[in-house]
Amino acid sequence: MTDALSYFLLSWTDPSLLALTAAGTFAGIYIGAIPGLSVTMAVAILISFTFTWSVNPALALIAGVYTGGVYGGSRSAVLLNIPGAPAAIATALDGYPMAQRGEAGRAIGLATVMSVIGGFIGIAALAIAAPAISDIALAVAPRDYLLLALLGLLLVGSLSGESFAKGLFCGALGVALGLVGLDQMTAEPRFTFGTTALMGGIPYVAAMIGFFGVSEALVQLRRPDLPPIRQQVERIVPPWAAVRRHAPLTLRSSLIGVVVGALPGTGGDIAALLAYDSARRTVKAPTHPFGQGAEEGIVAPESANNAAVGGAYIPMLTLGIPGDAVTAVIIGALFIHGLKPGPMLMVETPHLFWFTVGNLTLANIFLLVFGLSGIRVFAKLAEAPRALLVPLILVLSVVGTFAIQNSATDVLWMLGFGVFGYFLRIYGFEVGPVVLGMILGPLMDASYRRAMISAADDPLEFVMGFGESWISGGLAAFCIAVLAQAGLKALRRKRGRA
Amino acid sequence: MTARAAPRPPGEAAFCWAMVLLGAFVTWQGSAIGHFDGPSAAGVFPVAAGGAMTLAALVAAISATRRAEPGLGPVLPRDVAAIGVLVLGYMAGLEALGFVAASLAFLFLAILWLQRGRVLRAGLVAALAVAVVWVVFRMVFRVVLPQGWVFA
Repeated sequence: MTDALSYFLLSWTDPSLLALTAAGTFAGIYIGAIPGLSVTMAVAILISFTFTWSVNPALALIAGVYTGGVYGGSRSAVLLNIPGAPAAIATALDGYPMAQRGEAGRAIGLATVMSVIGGFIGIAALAIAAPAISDIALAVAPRDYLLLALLGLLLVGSLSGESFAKGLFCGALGVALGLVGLDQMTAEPRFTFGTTALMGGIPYVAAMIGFFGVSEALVQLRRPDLPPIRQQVERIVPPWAAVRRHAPLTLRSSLIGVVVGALPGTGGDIAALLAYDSARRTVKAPTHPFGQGAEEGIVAPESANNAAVGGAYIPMLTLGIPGDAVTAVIIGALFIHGLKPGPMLMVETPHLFWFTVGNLTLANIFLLVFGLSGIRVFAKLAEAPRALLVPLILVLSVVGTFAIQNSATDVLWMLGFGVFGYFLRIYGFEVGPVVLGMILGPLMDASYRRAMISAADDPLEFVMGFGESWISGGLAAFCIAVLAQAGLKALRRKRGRA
Repeated sequence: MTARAAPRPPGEAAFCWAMVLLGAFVTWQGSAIGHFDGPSAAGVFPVAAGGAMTLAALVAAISATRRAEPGLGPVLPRDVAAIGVLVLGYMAGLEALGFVAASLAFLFLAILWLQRGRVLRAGLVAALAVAVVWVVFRMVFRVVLPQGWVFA
């Protein structure tokens, strides 16, 4: 116990580790805030120049960048409607409307505090329940991933805006776009039209920047005479009463974040979307309607995506299986330093586990400090006149997209999606479901086919498979309950109108 | 949630019918993927996605056609069209001139157009913005930016 505590406090008491964690968190916030600069890319670059360092400083820096980066995406999502990272897509849905109301400072403050609370819950789960959560993550079968993706896609219903048909169209369009490229199971080309440029698929970050950022910039130009929105930056730290009011939602969303983060192949983006969907279904009296600047629309995704950091570390440290793309890169770093993440880690190198837990906790404290500072300056961005802001958003979108993989083709895609998104929006289609479909479609496709193959292509056996484990049965029952609830709601609305 | 939001420009029904065609095209392309030799074939999801697109767009198109409300305002207002043309030029310029020259030109012209004049302010903001982006992306994060071949 004393040993565990000393390992936990190592980065708190060593000045160089303390400084590296702080620097990593600070850099991570701004890397996350800039569209096109991803946390995965930053961590991969860090590994290339930290591999000559000893293991603790390297891990301290990486943990800081990871923690800061997952949160950082919320800043550009709130201020410019361009999620800096996919994990901030759900945050943009209510964060940007808050900024449009002059409450950007409050939105970012709320996002910061909720990210930190979510982060702490994720770390607590890592420290206390890692083996149990790893067992659950290993027991999750392809059909369960299918149900999880389906649950996420049901969010299309609440993101559809005025017309469910238009929302469904956009969600299905997103699924089709997500399937472009070589099939990950059979390597058959899908929607590639014989061109090699499409074999690798369409990068969804480029689509996200186009659909959210460029289309928003173009729509703003339809009303060039509207004055800039004055931002209230007097009170950025959410009052204690607000934190207390949101506590049950924060806890629920963080738990979703931990579990989804621990599932291999998922990550903060899916966790945030599922938590947002859950909040829309369960919160009866949000501060504003969802999609129009509800505080709950920030609380849920922000606590979930940072809780997913702790969740993603769980299978990595206990099983040697990455929870998301960043932890996959971190596993590489651990191997470079001669460590073997996996079941023997707690036996052979227990210090690594407790050092990581302590380091992530420290990074979250720095996140609170750096996250709450500079908000006044950032919030002023949203006050800039449209004549300056729109061209700057367009340049940032181009550079950010080019930075993903140095590809001019990606920039063309991004601009194309931006223009298409403009037409979708002016005719009442919501662009959120398109990006949702692009993220969840491929996961759903692969999970469905794996489950179907394991059922020997027999639809009856496939359906019976949902009764084979408590996870599948529970998820299936939950999906049916959600669908029934949506059906009842629609029926009541129809009767009300009649 | 069901109330209509902002007034629409004309052409909503035509756009929805174009989306029906897009959905039908996706379904047709999806059906051409591999062999449909079982429920786990590679084409199942693409066809399902295309089918859902077609049906949903059809519902939206019929609804928009029935409503037949007269549209308000232009589809492409002057500013949107002008910035659209500048973006096209920016794309062409990026490949030829590289990031710095193309972005400077785009920002300068776009700001000049949108604020209806004020040359000095447009030039200063454009130069400052390009400098900041260059320092952050190229120098701090070592991201490769388009080089261009005219000044190479």
